[in-house]
Amino acid sequence: MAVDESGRTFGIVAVDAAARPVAEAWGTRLRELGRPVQTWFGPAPPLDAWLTAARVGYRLLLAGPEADLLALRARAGVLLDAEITLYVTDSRERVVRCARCRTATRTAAAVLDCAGCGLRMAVHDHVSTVHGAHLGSWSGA
Amino acid sequence: MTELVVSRTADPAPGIRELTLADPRGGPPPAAPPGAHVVLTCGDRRNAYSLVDTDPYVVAVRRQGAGSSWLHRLAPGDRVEVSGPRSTFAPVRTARRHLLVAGGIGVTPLLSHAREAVRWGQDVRMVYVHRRGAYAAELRALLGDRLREAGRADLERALDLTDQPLGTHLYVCGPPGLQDRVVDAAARAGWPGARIHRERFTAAPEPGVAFTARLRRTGRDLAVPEGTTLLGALEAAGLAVPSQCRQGVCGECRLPLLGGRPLHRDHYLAPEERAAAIMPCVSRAETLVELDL
Repeated sequence: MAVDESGRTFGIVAVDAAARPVAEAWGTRLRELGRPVQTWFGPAPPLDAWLTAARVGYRLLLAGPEADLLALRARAGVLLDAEITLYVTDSRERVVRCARCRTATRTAAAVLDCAGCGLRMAVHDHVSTVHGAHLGSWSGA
Repeated sequence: MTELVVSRTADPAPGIRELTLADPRGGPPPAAPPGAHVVLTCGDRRNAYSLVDTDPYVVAVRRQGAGSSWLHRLAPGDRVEVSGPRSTFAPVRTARRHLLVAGGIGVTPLLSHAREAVRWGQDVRMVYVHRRGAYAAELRALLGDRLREAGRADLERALDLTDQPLGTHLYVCGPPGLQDRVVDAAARAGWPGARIHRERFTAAPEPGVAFTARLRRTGRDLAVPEGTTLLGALEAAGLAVPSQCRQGVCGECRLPLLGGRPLHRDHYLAPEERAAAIMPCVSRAETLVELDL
């Protein structure tokens, strides 16, 4: 996946090992262009510190499982879609937010029991970019 | 259209007349967001002006043509036809900072942006490039050290596009050359287009290059020289195209477009309309435009 070269400074996150090759390719290309890059390998980048220090012209490039990227996207609400690149390495698991108790549960299942209140939930396609999660509601059974 | 009455006139800078427009029946005018404009009927023309203030409506008119000269002759008590407010340059509500860049009389919509930001305690910064300084004293009092004033030559010194907090939105209004400089510098500094907002119509459009208008129904090729509008060329050839504002705002002169490479410069047509219509008062073509005339 080609890197967004329109930015001036960049933050790159590779959440897991599968994301590493694409993140490294992005970093290599940006360093060739002489652009400042900060990089983090792992699921918990210091995003708040990065975004506080960053100035307009910044781009955030995220690679990893969909559930992690959604959560990181939710923490980077100050950025526009045009300032974020998402590269999904795995979309089997989803984070599901319970419509009743608001607990988030990570699952690969289409129907599950909420980790917070035990509600039997169906997972909806609806995604909240604010909460970084799919909607789960009573499955009706 | 409503008829408003001139309640006050003032001269904020040489060549610029400020008109305060009130509803003769009393009460506030239709609500308008900062950056909105209205179209005033000035004799046989219709010109668009940004609202410097929205209650009552205040416009600042730079004398530059027949319409603006007509408005300069108005006195308190005179009546003017005013369109409803139109908003094409509103502040972005989610902005963490509003960075305003004004050139000359392009300050008018940004003055109302600045007032709104100060009223609501939002982070606002302004760079004002000017010689005559319309509203400069008012902006100094409003913004203090959040205002930087500059001449054309030292715009880049006053405007640091590499040190604005994430979430800043940039608003530019002024002469086309100045706008292009700011927008180009922002793009070079990595600003995405969605953070850059321009208001174009206060300045006269640039003359452009010569091109050909092919009239498919009559089978004529019409040369449109540099500095002549397509509308002007059609009129000179005896085609009476109805028109009003001649600024790409009102929509009156809309023509059906059949082909060619148009350069749309109006503020009227929606993006999806631009393949099949053109506003000849301001829009041109790279080399050729084909019209259903």
